[in-house]
Amino acid sequence: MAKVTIKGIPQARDNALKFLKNTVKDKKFLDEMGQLTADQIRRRTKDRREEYKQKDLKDLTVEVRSVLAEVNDTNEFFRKGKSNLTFTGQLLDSIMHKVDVATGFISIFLKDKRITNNALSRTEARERYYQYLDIDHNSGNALKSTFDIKTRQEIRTNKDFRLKIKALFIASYKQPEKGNNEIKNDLEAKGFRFFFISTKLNTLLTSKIAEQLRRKLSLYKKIVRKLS
Amino acid sequence: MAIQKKTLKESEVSTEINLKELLGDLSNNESVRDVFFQAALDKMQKRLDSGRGVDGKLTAYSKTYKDSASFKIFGKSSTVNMQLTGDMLAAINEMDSAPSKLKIGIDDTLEAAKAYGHMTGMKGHPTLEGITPKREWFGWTDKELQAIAKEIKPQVRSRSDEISDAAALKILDRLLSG
Repeated sequence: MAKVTIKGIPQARDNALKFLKNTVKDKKFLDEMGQLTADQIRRRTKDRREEYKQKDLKDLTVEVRSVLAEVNDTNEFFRKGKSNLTFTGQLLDSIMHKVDVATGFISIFLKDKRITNNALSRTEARERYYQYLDIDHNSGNALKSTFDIKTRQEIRTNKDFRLKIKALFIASYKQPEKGNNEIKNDLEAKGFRFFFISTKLNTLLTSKIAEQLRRKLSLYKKIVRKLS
Repeated sequence: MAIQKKTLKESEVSTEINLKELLGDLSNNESVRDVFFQAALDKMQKRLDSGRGVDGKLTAYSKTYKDSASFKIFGKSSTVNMQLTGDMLAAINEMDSAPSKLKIGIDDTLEAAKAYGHMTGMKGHPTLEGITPKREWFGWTDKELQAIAKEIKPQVRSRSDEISDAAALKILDRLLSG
């Protein structure tokens, strides 16, 4: 038997990922395959495996994520320094499947609804700003002029400070209300991809389909009970 | 005559089963070969599901591995089933062999190296050899293969069985040969 390859899987379009016209129109099997596909994309992306491993993040992005992580419910597998497209986990958790038994099609898609991430409030931003400047703003000596002088000095001389202040500004922007599909598109535009079937996943799915077909052989059905 | 000829190297982990020895003339029948293959895989899968390899219970996972993010992300349990993503087992396929034989194994570069590593305790690895335990997860005992053959042999296929099997095999062949 030749090595496993698969052809003809249509590529993702808009918010749906369709694959594999097949003649195995078994709802239970199709459901299992759909669930397996969704789970595997989710897990391989979270675990940064093969083609699902995302590119390195810029220092500014890492700093923004670090700040936003303090005002959002981040996912257990969120890491501020590395992207696995798992900040709150809503995006990957939105991967769903549905089956059309009549055609044998399995659609993988993203459920659009999500809760918008929190931005940093003005108060929180100010608190951090004071921390960065190492000024006790509650003391009687906290004059505005002190802040201004120190800020200008730090911006001129301290690269890390400049980064932190930029991150505070970005983290303070109110997050626009977007659905998961729009977020996916935004990420893809920046080179962060996850909504596809990798080579390894392709092999896994094909092996499951082949297994299913072998199980349909009538001879197999005759012996399987006796062997189990 | 030996029932199996095993290959264990970094580029290939496999066993060549002497189907003729087990099944006689039935060894040439496509349907029989596919069923034998699937039954053998089922046997191995069932063993792995209970945490056992060819020679008995597989060595437990290390604490470091069990505490890792990957372990949690893929929802693993303590049962040593040799499956995280499932890629290694999915790479098991029927390899080229003589018509009277059935060669089952892994020859994918990455997955074969993985399988070899597990089977040998990472033999040859610069840092993991001697640290990672041997886990003989792949393969079958002669007794297991003989049991499968014993169930296949007496089955008599009616004409309608042949037709339905032929249709299924056509689909399978098309799928696997691209």
